[in-house]
Amino acid sequence: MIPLLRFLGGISIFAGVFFSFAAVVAILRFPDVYTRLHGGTKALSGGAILILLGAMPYAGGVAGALKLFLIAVFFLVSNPMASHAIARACHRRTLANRPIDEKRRDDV
Amino acid sequence: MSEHLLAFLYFFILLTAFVAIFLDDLLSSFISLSVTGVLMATVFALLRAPDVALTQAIINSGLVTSLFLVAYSRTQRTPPPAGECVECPFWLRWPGAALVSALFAAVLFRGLYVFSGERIPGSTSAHYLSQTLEETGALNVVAAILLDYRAFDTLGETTVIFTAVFGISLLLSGGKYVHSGHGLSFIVKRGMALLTPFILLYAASILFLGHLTPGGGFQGGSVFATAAILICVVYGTNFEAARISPKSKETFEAGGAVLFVFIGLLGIAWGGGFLANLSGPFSAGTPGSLFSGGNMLLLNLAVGMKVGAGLSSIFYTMIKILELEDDSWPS
Repeated sequence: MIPLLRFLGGISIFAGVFFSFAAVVAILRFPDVYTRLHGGTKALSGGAILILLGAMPYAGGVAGALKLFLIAVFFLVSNPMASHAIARACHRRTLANRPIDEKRRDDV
Repeated sequence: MSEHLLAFLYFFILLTAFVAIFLDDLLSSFISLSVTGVLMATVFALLRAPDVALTQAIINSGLVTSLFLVAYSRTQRTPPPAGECVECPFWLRWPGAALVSALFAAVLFRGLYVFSGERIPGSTSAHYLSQTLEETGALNVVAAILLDYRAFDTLGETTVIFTAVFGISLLLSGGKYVHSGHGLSFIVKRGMALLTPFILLYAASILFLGHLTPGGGFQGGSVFATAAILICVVYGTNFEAARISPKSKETFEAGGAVLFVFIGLLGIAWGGGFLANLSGPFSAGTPGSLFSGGNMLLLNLAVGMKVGAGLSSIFYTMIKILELEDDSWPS
């Protein structure tokens, strides 16, 4: 049971690393605030949560695994909230539709 | 394995610190600096200093960044045009930074081998590690050093925060401004309402179990202050002031100081000396239970009151003067 869970956890951690990498690429390559925010949130809701879930079988005991699960739930609640607040603030300050970097805009 | 991970983290600490220094945009510098703080916290946790790691994570990445951001909003946004700005010449900047970081790196990498070495018998650290439970009744050695062996220093440290609050209140006197933001959107307000009880519970657990587990008054009080700051930002300062009035914060802060000194004087009255713990009126209790370690629980409470109320009132004062400007911004 435990080896199987650890195998699945390893797959989950790899998926999380992939999401984090994709988020970095997205932040660097996407043209404006909204799309960058969309990419950036994946680092947490995709990357960190998958890594935490994947680390659960390695935590050594039910208590440690539950702690990791609680941290994941906390991220799941707080991250959409934070990105929503950022997006709204950008919208209010009318930054949103302006491309961040004109040169970058051209080669996307 | 741990050494390689540490070396990797040291490299990134130096890198982010460099980025923070050499970026022209202040906002990006703050973000980079908070990344440095998180990495430092990870290093402390790896070096088995969870108390310091907690402090580092909360203070450096949470509170200091938010205070920086408020200060940044009050300062010039763009760097002045070239020629007007008097700065350190380029030929001095890079070699200077390289020299400092080389020295820092040398010290850090030397530390990798020092901490794995033998403990010197008869040194203070060996004494603390072997005698703490017997002499103070606390399971957390760091808390015992801070609140028993070196309690007088802790009193001095908390007085620093007290002085800072006085100075900032005197300079900015935010309480007289009645303007307040309406806070963020409904979604964030509801989400914050969902999270606040858990944040407060976590803060209370750090504070009251400081003599048993990593944490203590400083860390718990900082998490309390973080909760107050979040409420300030999410709901607007007037809502926060209506729930936790600035006057009551001042009372709490002064109450913490009075409680700390009162516990100290109690030791003198008992014939033990200022801040005497087990040689004073306090008993060690059962090791591992909540009421153990003598006066440490009360001292943690006093420090937590001072730090929590002090830091949150610093932020309140600073953001209050910021919101005066906020009305003139396009919405």
